[in-house]
Amino acid sequence: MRPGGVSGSPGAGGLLGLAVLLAAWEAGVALFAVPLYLLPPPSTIWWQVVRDWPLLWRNAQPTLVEAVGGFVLGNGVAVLLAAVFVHAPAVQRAVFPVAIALRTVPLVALTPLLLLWLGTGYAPKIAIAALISFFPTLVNMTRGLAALDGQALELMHTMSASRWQILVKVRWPSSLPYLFSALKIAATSSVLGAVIAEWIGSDRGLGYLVVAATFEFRIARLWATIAVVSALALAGYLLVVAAERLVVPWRGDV
Amino acid sequence: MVTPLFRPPAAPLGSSPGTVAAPAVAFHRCGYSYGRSAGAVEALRDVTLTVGAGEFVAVIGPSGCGKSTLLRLAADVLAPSSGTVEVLGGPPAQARRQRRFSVAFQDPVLLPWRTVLQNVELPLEIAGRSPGHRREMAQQMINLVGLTGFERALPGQLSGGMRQRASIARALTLQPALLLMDEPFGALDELTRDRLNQELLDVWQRTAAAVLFITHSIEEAVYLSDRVMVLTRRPGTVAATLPIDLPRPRTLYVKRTAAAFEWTARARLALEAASR
Ligand SMILES: Nc1ncnc2c1ncn2[C@@H]1O[C@H](COP(=O)(O)OP(=O)(O)O)[C@@H](O)[C@H]1O
Ligand SMILES: [Mg+2]
Repeated sequence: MRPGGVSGSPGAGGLLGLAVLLAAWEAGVALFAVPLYLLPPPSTIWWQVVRDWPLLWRNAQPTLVEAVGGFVLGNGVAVLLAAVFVHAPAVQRAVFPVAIALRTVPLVALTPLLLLWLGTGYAPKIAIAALISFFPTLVNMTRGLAALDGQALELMHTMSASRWQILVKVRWPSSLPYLFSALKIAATSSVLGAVIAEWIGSDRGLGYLVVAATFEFRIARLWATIAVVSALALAGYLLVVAAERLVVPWRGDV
Repeated sequence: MVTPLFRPPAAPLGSSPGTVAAPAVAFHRCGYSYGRSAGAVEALRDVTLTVGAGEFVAVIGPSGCGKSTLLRLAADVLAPSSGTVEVLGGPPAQARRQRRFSVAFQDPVLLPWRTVLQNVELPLEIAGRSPGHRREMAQQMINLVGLTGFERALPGQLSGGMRQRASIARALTLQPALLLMDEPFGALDELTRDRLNQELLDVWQRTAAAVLFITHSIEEAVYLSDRVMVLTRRPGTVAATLPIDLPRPRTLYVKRTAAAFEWTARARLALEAASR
């Protein structure tokens, strides 16, 4: 249906852009003799990733668990809450402003509190990753479930469809493009949320590694860790894009 | 399909002592206003109009005169502000819950993620029919409207005319006693519209359904219907009734007869008078 061109896909164009950026970075660092501790060239970072791989992989695992857990939890709750909003406008009027107000609380400030409440295990990190995924999905999904055109609703009414049938057969599928644009945001932000949560009170995870490498002044390892974090976030994003192509084949890029 | 059922002859307006079946639609002194007293828009006033069982009635009128409102009253989307509406011998809500009528709009309103077959199956699915029955009925209706071979296509892959065919097939799957159609061919080019008019007549002739057909095309109204009702400017009310006595089955030949031109001219005059 959809021609597989370069224009809409993040694949080919994105890779080319990345390659150009890395080449410029490598050349720039060499040309201006930038000291290693300020900005190592990509090749150095790459070799550091290779050298540190067992360490990086060991610490990527908890981060991955937290990010995926937070992604599922945050988006799941957001989708359910949006479905409640659409069917109970009174609940939406009461809860939505509170949700938006909560959103303005900086997550970095929330982290110590969550550590106090939830301990030092996976729970507080998953909670942070969930919170960071939650809000964009709640906003988008509420819009998506409500964005049904009047004629489709009239049609379902004349067929005597129940509210449940309308939700499952019409509202849910027609909101999928909205859901996926939120999930693309959540895929990257849940990784970042997990990493930030690991900065405090953690002895493992990529976030912990960032802090440890900084304290020990292992600049190359710091950059190697950052590279792995970016790769994870990018992988999450690409997975969501691929899932969208599978699940929403009737619409192109939103 | 086992459809060539008995179709009662079009009941002449007003009196038909011999008719046993309840009229498909009966508006009695019906009024409708959008909104409340202050900024209310009075769309319809004092409309009395009947569609007999199995009858094909077209409604024309200036745009914004309340034609779609009339259809929504019959479809139980709106409730009249004054007067009464009966559908198939009872309140519209009852006919709706019994799934005895269906609706087709100008916009085909197909669900873009469902194939043609799945779209046509939708009313049966909502009514809780078994998958086997759904498949079979939907396939029959798809064949009937000439979409055979496109069962697995998504709406986005179809032309406007084919989408409208799918929408009509969907309206037919529950074998309704009444079809409510709001300018179903209004967005199509003239040749496609002519062809679909012909096909709609074929389908109607093979089913026992009555049709309330809204259109802004005078020719279409005359060609299709047993009676043409002309509405006045808003608030719409019945200005004229034209009993179209052209022979059936209506072929393209019938369309070019002097009688057909005569009816078209009279309908145009009535519409012009009603628009003043
Ligand atoms: N939801 C609505 N709220 C307020 N006014 C409406 C609404 N729908 C239609 N109207 C008005 O009612 C009148 C009749 O509308 P409609 O039945 O759609 O006319 P038609 O189908 O004959 O063009 C129009 O003037 C229109 O502007
Ligand atoms: Mg209209």
